[in-house]
Amino acid sequence: MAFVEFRDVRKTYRMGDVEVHAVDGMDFEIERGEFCVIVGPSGAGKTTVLNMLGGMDSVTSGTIMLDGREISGLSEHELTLYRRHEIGFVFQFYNLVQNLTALENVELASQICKDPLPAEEVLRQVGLGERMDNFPAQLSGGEQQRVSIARALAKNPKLLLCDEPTGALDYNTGKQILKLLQDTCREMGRTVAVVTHNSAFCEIADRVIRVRSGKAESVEINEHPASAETLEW
Amino acid sequence: MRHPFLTELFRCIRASLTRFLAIVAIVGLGVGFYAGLRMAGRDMRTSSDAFYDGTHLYDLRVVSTLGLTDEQVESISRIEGVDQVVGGYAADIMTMLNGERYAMRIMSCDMDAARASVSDGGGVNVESADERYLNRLSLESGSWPTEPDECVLSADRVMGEPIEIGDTVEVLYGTADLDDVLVYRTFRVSGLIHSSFYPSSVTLGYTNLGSGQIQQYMFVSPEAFSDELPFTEVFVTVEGADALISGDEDYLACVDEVADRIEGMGLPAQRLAQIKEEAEAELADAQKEYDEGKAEADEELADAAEKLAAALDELEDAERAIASGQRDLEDGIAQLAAARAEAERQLADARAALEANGRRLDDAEKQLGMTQADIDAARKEVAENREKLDEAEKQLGMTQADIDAAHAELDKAAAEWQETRGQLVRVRGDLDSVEGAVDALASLALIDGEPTEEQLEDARAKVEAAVQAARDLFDSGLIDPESEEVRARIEELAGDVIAELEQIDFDADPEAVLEQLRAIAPSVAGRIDAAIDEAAVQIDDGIAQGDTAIAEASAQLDQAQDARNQIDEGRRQLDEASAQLDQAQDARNQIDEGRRQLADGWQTYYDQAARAEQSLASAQRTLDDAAAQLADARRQLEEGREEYERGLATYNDSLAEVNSRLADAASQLAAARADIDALEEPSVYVLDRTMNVGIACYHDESERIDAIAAVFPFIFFLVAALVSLTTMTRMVEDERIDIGTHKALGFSTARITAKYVAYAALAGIVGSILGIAILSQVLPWVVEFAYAIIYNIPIVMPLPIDAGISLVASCVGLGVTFLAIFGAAAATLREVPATLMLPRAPKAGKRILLEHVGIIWRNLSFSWKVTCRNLFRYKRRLAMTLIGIAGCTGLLLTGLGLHDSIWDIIAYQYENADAITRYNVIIGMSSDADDTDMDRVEDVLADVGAADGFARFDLENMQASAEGYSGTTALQVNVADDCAAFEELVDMRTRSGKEHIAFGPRSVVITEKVAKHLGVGVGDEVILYDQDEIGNATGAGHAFTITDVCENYVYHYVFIGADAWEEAVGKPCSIDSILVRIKEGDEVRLAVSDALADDDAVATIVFNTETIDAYRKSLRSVNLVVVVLVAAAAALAFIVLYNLINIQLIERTREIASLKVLGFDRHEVAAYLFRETFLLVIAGALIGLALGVVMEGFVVTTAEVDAVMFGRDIHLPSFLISFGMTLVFSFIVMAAIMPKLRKIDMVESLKSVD
Repeated sequence: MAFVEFRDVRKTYRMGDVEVHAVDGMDFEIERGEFCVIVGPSGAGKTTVLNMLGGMDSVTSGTIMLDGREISGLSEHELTLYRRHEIGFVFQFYNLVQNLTALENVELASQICKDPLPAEEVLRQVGLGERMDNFPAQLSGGEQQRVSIARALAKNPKLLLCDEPTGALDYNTGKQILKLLQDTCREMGRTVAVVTHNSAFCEIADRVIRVRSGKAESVEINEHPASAETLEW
Repeated sequence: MRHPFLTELFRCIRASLTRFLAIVAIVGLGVGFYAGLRMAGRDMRTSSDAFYDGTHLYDLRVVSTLGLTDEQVESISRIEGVDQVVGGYAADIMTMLNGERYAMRIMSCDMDAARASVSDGGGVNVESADERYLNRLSLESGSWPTEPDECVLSADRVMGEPIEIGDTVEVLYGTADLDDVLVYRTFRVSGLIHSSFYPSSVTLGYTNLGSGQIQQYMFVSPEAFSDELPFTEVFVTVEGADALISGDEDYLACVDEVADRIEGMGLPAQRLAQIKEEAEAELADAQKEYDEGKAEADEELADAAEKLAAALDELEDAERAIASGQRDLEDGIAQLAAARAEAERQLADARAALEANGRRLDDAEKQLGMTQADIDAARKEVAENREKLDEAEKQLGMTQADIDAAHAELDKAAAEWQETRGQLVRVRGDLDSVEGAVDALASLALIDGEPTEEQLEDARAKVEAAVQAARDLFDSGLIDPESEEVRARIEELAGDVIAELEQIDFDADPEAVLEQLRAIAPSVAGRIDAAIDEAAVQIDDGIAQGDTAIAEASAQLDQAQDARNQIDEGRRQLDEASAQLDQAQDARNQIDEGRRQLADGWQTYYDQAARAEQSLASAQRTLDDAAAQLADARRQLEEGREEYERGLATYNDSLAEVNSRLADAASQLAAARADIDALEEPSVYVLDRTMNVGIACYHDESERIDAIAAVFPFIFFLVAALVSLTTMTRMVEDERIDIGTHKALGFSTARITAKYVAYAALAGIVGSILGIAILSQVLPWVVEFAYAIIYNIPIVMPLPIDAGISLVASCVGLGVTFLAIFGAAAATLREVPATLMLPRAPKAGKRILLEHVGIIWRNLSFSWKVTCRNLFRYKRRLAMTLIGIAGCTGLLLTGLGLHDSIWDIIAYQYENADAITRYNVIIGMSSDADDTDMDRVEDVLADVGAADGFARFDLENMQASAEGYSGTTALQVNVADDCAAFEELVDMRTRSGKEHIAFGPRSVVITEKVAKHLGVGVGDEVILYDQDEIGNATGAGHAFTITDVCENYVYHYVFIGADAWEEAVGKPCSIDSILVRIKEGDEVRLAVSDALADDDAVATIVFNTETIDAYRKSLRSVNLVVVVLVAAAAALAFIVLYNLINIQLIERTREIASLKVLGFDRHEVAAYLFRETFLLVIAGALIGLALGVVMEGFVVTTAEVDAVMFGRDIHLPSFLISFGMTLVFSFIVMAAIMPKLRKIDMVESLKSVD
């Protein structure tokens, strides 16, 4: 059994009289330790996939499994615990608490979970060993995103979910962040799922899931993914 | 065409309605609170003015120490500016109503005009055709007096016992001699009224009677006052004064101008001349009266001397008549004695004869030995015995003849039996023969060998004989025929035997015969034997039975005979007894007859004796009468003589007295002459309404409200400004990009600003209008309503809205919002479009001071760290919340503290274990009471009221002043000579520190409030003046050096030791009152009242409970103020907190969504957000407690009524409640916000920052 499984997952929103099928029979799998890129144009349903996989939204039908546990039927409270203990989330706009230093932002997340990694160590891993005591406003965008990644990693999650992690960054910084995510996957053996509209990222992924009109259009396995450093777009 | 500007504005408002409403509400609250409170005092004055004008209340009151007359009324009415003038009468009196004593003021009122008047508008207006009808009354219940001895009393005053129409007010005494004042001493209550003259139902004024307070007022028609009495007061209304608000400066100026004119017109001289004229006339009259009296007296004395001589002659005649009467009487007595002796002898003879007869009868009776009852009993016994015999005879049921007949029958039966018996015996014998035959037959069988012929023959004969015998036997019929069975068997047997025997053929071979015989013989013999035995038994039985029956019958007959004989014997005896009884009866009758005759004899004897006695007694009576008459005559003579002596003495006395009285009168005339010559001008006072205690108090209350109004709204404005500022700031930030776009499109800064200004203006205007419209009615109404408990001034609704105040309030409100909008928008508007188009850089995190305190900081959790940093991140909000919450707590504490302070008055003064007032009754003694009276009263109190403490003292109602204090203030002076006893019942101590103050003969202790009021302290001098009836200080005053200032809450006192008093005043104090501590309880009070009610030495009894109840009632108004403050506090807390949290929520939506994504649960998120609010609330509440203490202190000192000092302590529970309620308010707001918090979608975290 795969680490992540989507089985005929559907998500329907009602907008007045109109039913919108944001996800309409999605099927795919992600194996443990993979660096997976979910790619598709705007409105294809990739954010909905991310929301459902991240425990932020419920499914209308179908099943989602993570590491052998079905998460598609969890209660609100169980979903909270799921987010808390099993998911690390990296936001497009970092979403750091402005009033906490980099270190404190990481600790904020780690204090609520069962088995956190030492915050300072994680920060050093993402290359911010020197800037731990700075407030977000004193950090560049890339550094803030690193803090965000560190915050997600410190929770020691089963799955690292990244929503357009380079969306708010310039090219070089974006590349560095992608490199960091790839290294995290390679060196720490963590499963990483990146949601993006940029198909250039497909080159560095172990698995590419192309999403269109609420369905997984194709799933490709990259036998030899490129390194993020060589990536160009 | 729709104006795009307005469209945008209204959309903006609609999109952020809560925000808009928050600003409207806080501006409304601030503006409304300010305007409402500012107008409250004004409205109170307007209401009271409407009441005074509507009831044509006087503007000026002229009083004179020697009264005023129509002449003065006339001259006052001619003064410029005077509208109406009317004279009136008034007096202070002590009355008895429903068994209680009350100090009252009685005033005159034109009852004809009152009856014709019409009251409307809840008593605000009283219409009357009579313009000279001033101080108009409105009737609450009952009817107007129609007779001069009817009165109306105040409906507003709460009395111990409710007044009923028809109750009687009894006038006991007054400050002046009542004979000169009132025509009547009792007045019937015909109705209850309201009077604008007495707007306060608690303080009616002061008097020298009783406890010094007027407790009730009454109006009567002027005819109830003595004709001789001049007007005691003249009421004046001033032209144009009713157009002004009573108590305002312009009003006072208008009225005082006229007052000055009246004062300047020389009324005292006019009045003096008038009085002198009257006095001269009176003196002339008196002189004339003296002369006439003298002549009359001389004449009367001459008459008296003549009468005395005539009386002496009469006495001597009487003496002679008495001597002759005495002689006649003695003759009569001798005759009566002789007649009495004769009568007694005759009666003695008759008595002896009668007694002899009596003795004879007694003997006869003793012989007879039987009374009639005995005889009757014996007769009854005989009759009973006869009945018993009859009964026995009936039972026996047999006469002698029956018995004899039975005997004959029995004899016959016995004879018959003997015959039958013989037959039976015979048959028995036959049976024996049969037996013999059978034996023979049997013997045949025993024959050996061949029987002989004879034998055979014999046998045959025997058998036949046997058979025959058997037959006979049965034929005899002697055998009991009832034994048919036996008979049958015997018959059968006999038959068988015979049959068998007959079968024997004796003719046959003898051998064979023998054989046959042998064969049958035993059986035949046996059977016959059996039959015979049975028959024999039967016969024997028969014989025995027959014998027995005969014997029994004979015995029965003998018994019957015996019974018969007994009965006969009984009858004979009874007849004998009857005969004896008849004899005894005869004897008895004779004796009875004898007795009757004897009784008749005695009756005759007694009648004779009585007749004799009667005639003797009658004779005796005649004699006694004569003797009595004689004695009477003697006594009369004696009396006549005494009377004569007295007459003589009286005559001599009168002579002396007349002479001395004439001398007195002459000297009085001389004194009157001197008095007239010494007459001085009276004091005339022209008093305006400020000198009316009730009116002045109400005016003061309204000014107190003004003072409070000056402070409280400040908080609301401050909060309004901060709320507007933060809200507007948020709004401008929200619309950054909009602003940037507008700027980029080329709109001028002014045009862009206009939108926000318009937004703020709209909120400010709507808020102001709503706030003023609602609170300018509600707040003054609440205030007036609260005061309506002690003042009977009707509230006139709707209350006027003061344009000036409203404008000021609105301007301040608008100004606040404008300030806020400029403060919020200025910075943003200065920026260039390019920066505006970018999202605003998030406010940088900053290190705070606390972080340098490593120990604390390191130990804080992250949430707390965020909280701490956030607290100082938004300083405006911090300020807004702290001030708002502090205001809320402060208002709560003010309200509750005010409540504490006011109720502490009673607790500290009377009710606590360490209360100041240890007595509960003050007994006022009448002016002529002495020490013995006081001893008696104390004994009664100790007895009835279980009193255990007494302190005698001198109670004086005086006016006090001090250096640097203009005017005087009323207070009560208590002078005690037994200082220890006084100290026992009045606990003197300092308020702070509660240090005991030793009260000695040289002490002058003044109560705290009045000391502060006069501006004096220990070592300063207070000057005490006597007061006249109107409460004006008179005389030079006496200076006292204050030795101590003591804690006191109700009224004002100076406690002075006797020595200090004497030294200052120059004469010793006159002890006239007693403080008493009695047992608590209504019954005890009632018992004490009853016990002292008829004691003439007791003038007044004042129970503390009455004072306490009055205060309780008057202070209840404060509760309403507390409610208003609590409501305002709640409103403040809600608006501020809701606003704060709402802004936080909007601003931090993204942060909250991110936290949710990170896995924070609902409670953690709420805690993250609310922790800040909570800290702010706690801090604000703590500041608020401090603020509250200050505000409460201000309100307490400002709102304090003159007559009392409020408590100065706020109780711990009030602090806790204020703090707790603030927390509760914030929890409510937090709870209200919770759903909003939950609704924040995690997807928000994914959105871009825009």
